[in-house]
Formats: sequence, C-alpha cells, structure tokens
Amino acid sequence: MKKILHSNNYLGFLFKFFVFIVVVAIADFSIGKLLEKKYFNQSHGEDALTTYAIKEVKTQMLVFGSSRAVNIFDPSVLENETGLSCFNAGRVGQSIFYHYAVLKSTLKRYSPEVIILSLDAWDFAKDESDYDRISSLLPYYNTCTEVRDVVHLRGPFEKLKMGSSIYPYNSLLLPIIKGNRNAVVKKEIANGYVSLDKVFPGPVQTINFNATAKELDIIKVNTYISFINECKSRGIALYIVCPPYMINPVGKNLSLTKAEQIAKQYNVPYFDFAYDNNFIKRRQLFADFRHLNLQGSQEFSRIISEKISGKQPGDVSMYQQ
Amino acid sequence: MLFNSFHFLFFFIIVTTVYFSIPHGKRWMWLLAASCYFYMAFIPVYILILAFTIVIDYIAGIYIERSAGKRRKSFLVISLIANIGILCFFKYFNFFNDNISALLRIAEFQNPVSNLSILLPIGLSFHTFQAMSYTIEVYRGNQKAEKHFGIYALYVMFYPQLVAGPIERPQNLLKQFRQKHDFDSSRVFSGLKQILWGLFKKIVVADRLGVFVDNAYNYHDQQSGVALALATIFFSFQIYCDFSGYTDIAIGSARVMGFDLMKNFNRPNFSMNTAEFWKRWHISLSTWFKDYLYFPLGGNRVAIPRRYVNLMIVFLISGFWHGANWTFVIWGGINGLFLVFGLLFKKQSTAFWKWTGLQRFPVVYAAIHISITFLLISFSRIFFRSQSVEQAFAIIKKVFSFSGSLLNESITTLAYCFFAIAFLIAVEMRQEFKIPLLSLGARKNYWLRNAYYALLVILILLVGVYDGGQFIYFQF
Repeated sequence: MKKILHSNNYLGFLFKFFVFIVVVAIADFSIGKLLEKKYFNQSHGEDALTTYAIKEVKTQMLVFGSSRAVNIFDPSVLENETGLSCFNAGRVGQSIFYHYAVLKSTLKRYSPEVIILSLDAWDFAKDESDYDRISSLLPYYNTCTEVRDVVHLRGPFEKLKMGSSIYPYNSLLLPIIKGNRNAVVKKEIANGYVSLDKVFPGPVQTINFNATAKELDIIKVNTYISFINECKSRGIALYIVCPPYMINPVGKNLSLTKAEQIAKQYNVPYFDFAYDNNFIKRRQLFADFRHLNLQGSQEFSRIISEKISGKQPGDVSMYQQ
Repeated sequence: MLFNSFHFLFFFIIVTTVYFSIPHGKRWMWLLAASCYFYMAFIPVYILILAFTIVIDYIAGIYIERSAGKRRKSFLVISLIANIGILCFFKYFNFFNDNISALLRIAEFQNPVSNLSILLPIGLSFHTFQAMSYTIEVYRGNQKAEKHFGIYALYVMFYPQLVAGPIERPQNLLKQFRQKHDFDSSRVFSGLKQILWGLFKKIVVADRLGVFVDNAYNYHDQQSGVALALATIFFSFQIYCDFSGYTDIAIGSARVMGFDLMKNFNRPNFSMNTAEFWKRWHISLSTWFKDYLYFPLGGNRVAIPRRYVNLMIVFLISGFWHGANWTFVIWGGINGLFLVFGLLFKKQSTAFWKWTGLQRFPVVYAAIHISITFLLISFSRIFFRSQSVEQAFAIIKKVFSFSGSLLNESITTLAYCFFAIAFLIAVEMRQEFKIPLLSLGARKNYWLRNAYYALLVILILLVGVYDGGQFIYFQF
C-alpha cells in the first residue's frame, strides 16, 4: 500500500482519491446521522414547530403563511371564537412553496376541517430568495416524500446534493444546539403564534404598487392553485386572507389581484384587508407596517373567527367584506 | 458557469479527463473548445467581442514583430485602441454619458444621447488587460509573436483564468500550451487541494460574511454605527476570500492539467503597511499597472513630487478599472494617498516607532502594524462596497458615531461569521508564520492530511452558504 500511496500514476491517484472519498463519506454519514437525531429532538424553535406541523399536529384548524401568519393569527382566539382546535403552522420568511409542502405532508396523516392561508402583497412576485428558503424543508426530504417536489424547485442538482447526510442540516448546527438545550424538559409545543409587543412608530409609508410591481412567478401561482386544489379535493374549508398593512397604497397590487382572481375562480372565500380603513387609521394596532402587534392580532383573529363561524365555506358572497 | 456550481464540477471532470486522454497535439483544440463553452455559458453572443479582439491582437502581434519604427508603433496603437475602445464602450459608456448629462443639466441643457441597455461582458477588464500585455510585450521585444492562431486564442481564453484572472503574461503562459503535460498525481492532488481551499474560502467564509455585509450595506439607514463598522471589517474578509477563493480554484484547476498560473495573493491581510499590501493583493493586476503604466510614467526614477503624481495616476486608473463609478475612483485615490503619505512621512514614522520602543517586542509591533494597515484598507473599502458616494459618506458618518448595538442580525449569523474568520486566520497564520501547531494540512502523515481535507469538505457541507451567487470580481 505504501508503494501505491507514493506513486504518481493513475492507479496511485485513483487509490488515494478513493481513500479520501471513503473518509469523507464515513464522516459525512456519521455527522449527518447525529445531526438528524438532534434535529428531530428539538423541543422548541422554528424547526421544532415545522416538525410538529408535518409529523404530529391534529388540530381541526390550521393556519399557513409567512410572518404575517405567525404574528397575526392567534390560535387561542380562533379556538375560543370558533370552538375548533387550532395550530398556527406558518413560518417566518417562507413562501407558498413551504406552505404547500407542509400542507401535503400534513394531509398525508389527516384532514383538518378548516385551513386559513395568509397572504402577503409580494407573495407571487419573482424572488430567488424564496427558492433558497425552501432549504427549511431539506431535513424532511428523506422521511417525508411529499416535500420532495418542492425541494427540487431549488435547482437541478438537489437530488445529488441529498446524497450527503450533512447537507440537509446545512447552517442548522447552531439552531439545533439551541433547540436541544432544554431537551430534558417535557416536550411542549406552543401553538405557533408569536406576538409582537411594540407599537409602530410611523411614519406611514406610501407604497406605489404600480411602480414597485415585480413580474409574477408562474411557479408560485401554480403552487397556490395546487394548494387550493388539495384543500378542495379533501373537502377542507379553505379561507384565504390578506391581513392589513399600515401603508398608503397607490395602485393595484399584482400578487393580491391574481390571488383574488384565482380564489374567485375556485370558489374559495377570499378576505382582503390589505387596504382596510378600519386598520390603516389605527397605528396602535401595528408593530410595523406589515405586522399587527399583540392588540391588533387579537382583534384581527376575532374578526376572522367571526367570518369563519358566521358563514359557510364556498359562499361566494364572502368575497365582499 | 460559476466555479462553485455543480455545472462547473462536471465540466471540470470532463475537460480534465479528456485532456489527459487525447494526444498532446490535439489538446489545445480541446482546451479552446472547452474555454469557448465556459465563456458562452454566461452570455453566448459576447464571445463575438472576444473573437474580435483576439483576431485584432493576433494580427497586430505578427505585424508588430515584422515591422520597425513608426509602423511598428502604429500596430501597437491599433491593438490598444481596439482593446481599450471595447472596454470603454461596454464598461464606461454609460458612466461618461451620465456625467455628461449631469454637467449639461447644470447648464440647463438636455443630453440627446441616451444610455445603452447592455450587460457588461463578463471578465472584460481581465481578458482585455491580458490581451494588451501580449501586444505590449511583443512590441517591447520580450515575447515573440504567436503564429499559431489557436494557441494565441487559448492564451486569451484559457478557461481557468478567463473571467477573473490572474491576468497572465505571455512569457509565462504561452509556452505552457506547447509543453506536454503528463499526468502527475502529486500535481493533481496539489491542484485539487487548492481548489478545495478556494471553495472553502468562497462558500464558508465569503458567502457567509456576505449575508451580514449585504444586509448592513443594503439597509444602511436602518443599521447602527457599530453594525456598519463590523460589516466593513467583514467585507474586507469577504472580498479577500471571494476573490482569492476564485483565484485558488483557477490556479488549482490549471495545475491539475499541468499549467502554472501566476500567484495572485500572498496573504495580504498580514501586510505591515499599505505599500506591502499592494504587493500582496491582486498581484497580477498590481504588476500589470507597474509594468505598463507606472514604469512608462517614470516610476521611481523621477523627481520625488513626480513620483507621487505617478502613484496617484496609477491608483486612480486602477480604481476606475474596477468599476465605472466614482466610488471606485475615490477608493483608488484613497489607496494612492496611503502610499504617498507613507513615503512622505517615512522618516517620522520610523522615528516614532523607535521612540515607542515597541520594536523590541516584534510580535506586538507586527500586530499593531498589521491591524493599522488592515483598518486603513477596510476604511477605503467603504467606497468600494457602497453603491454611491452619498451612501459611502452616510456610512462613514454612522460608523464614526460609534453608536447602536451589534445585534440587528441574529447571534447565529454572527457566530458563523466569527467562526469562518477565525478558521481563515488560523490557516493563514500557519502559512505566514509557520506555526507547527496549526499545520495539519501540511503534515507529512498521509492520514492527518487526509483528515484535514476531509474536515474542509465537512465544514463546506455543514456551514457553507450554497445560495451565495457569483464572485464579486466577475462584475469587473
């Protein structure tokens, strides 16, 4: 072996390279398995909530969306008002790709009665970073086949990259350590809602949707349609909601117009509060221009609860507030 | 095609395997075809620009060699005009047009010429400078004109250094295309190790720091002075790892096939003064300017005031080479001033350090000098990183207010950033100061070396940033 290790020909090269690959493969597999174990052992944090949403949740009502779901829809209010158990499965910074993948994974286990999909005014705009953020689903790639189609949207080499055991946990080392810190404590999952305590200091921005309009991403629009179809095919009452903004809007928002048009086409209740004057006039209800604070979210969750309790899904009159 | 992509990985494996499998006489064709494919992977049509300058310079080279006197000079001038003309048109047209518009507006006129909506051909400044070095060297008689069109085209287009250097000289590279390179596993491993280290610098250090820096600079009005100061320091490490990481991959890729490209970085962050920094940073460009601009201007063999003027001219043009924006010109100017002041106050500086007595403590003395140099260079880079002069001044104002908290970013982001920098410094300290404790990758023990390089792969997988995008210097 010593002779081969010191030779400069193809054979020596291939042998040494093979040894190196074996060393890397063993290290990758061992560390990857350890990370996998620790990842799914997290008791708190965003990843733990995603795992709970995909693998455990069984509530009657589910909320999907980005930070405008996480910070705005309080499941305890929704539960009190509707009598349905509720979990907020939103995740900060995520797009329709994530919501759809989590929905599909959840539906594999059970069908909730009601689903609320919270939308943002830029949800369907072309934005490469939304594809990057799909990485949150990588840890579920091997165990949850429903997320794979969405993960493959990240790029043509995603399947190849998943050959590594460490890759799904890329950049997750510190969050995993953090999420495992209280692992001895009984695993308690919050209801997914995170309240914001501050009050928007202003000033109120004027946002010109015509000037800032980005081209719509057709893949996102199609994923939104798939989300609706999944719910309808299982008889789930889907409500699509755009919570309010603290802005002075100018022009029509492309994403929201498209979302409303599709909801109407599929006969899904669509509540648009983006430009609701009752909220825009009340700065004390907002934490920033995109997010309601604790007081605002309680009030808004009550309004949505009333809409869900008072009307039956599929009622076309609900398009109008 | 980015060096940090799977696309490049497959390209590199195929190109190298075929390269060693075909007869020596046909290798140039294969490398030229591969280089064309590599370049066309960005914007295919722009290869026509490259083809145009290659034809011009190839013919110019032959005629320069055959001619004498004014005629010889005129062929050089034709070549230079063609190269600089293309560079100016694609890179600087809009810049000049914007400035003319601004001047006309002051005089209440409107500029009738509108800006061009074209993308800058990738690596234009690099391959233009490399092409110019060929015709200049032929003119000076240091290099014979290349008669083989394919070999000359390969000199300009050799894919490892086509889009971001090192900016090669014909004396070093041209002859290597005629030499037969047999498969040598020690060279292949040496090249692969350099590629791996380059990938580490790009993916683990540069792109990780880029997350923090981009957020701080893009939303500077929402950042504290402390966060912006930290982002400025991080940017120095980011740009070093981004560019030297690219260079490592370029040099490593070439070495695997038996080619030796020139060294482009020599651990510049350990420089004791700014003059030394510029001898260690982007060496192929610094020496290009030295050979083809500074020396022709008179270099050091002129009166002292004229020498300072020469230095300023070189640095201002070097700044402008980087980008068509006043920010780059100011950045170049600041660095020129560092050198001029360094020369002006050399005696006083030496006397001051002697007075402090710190020279008796070489480690402390070196640490202070390295830190001061690093901070000065980092300060100048505020202009390099900013989108406009106004933004740069706004950031400087905030940085020197020393206000606010660090933690606009999550603690996780900062922890990854500090880890990446610490790892980089540890490795480079080992190389710079030959510290045995840190020299795992250079150990004679085969298994220890293997473990070190396996660790680099694991760290790339574990903490690398895979969505970091292209290399900063590609835009130049």
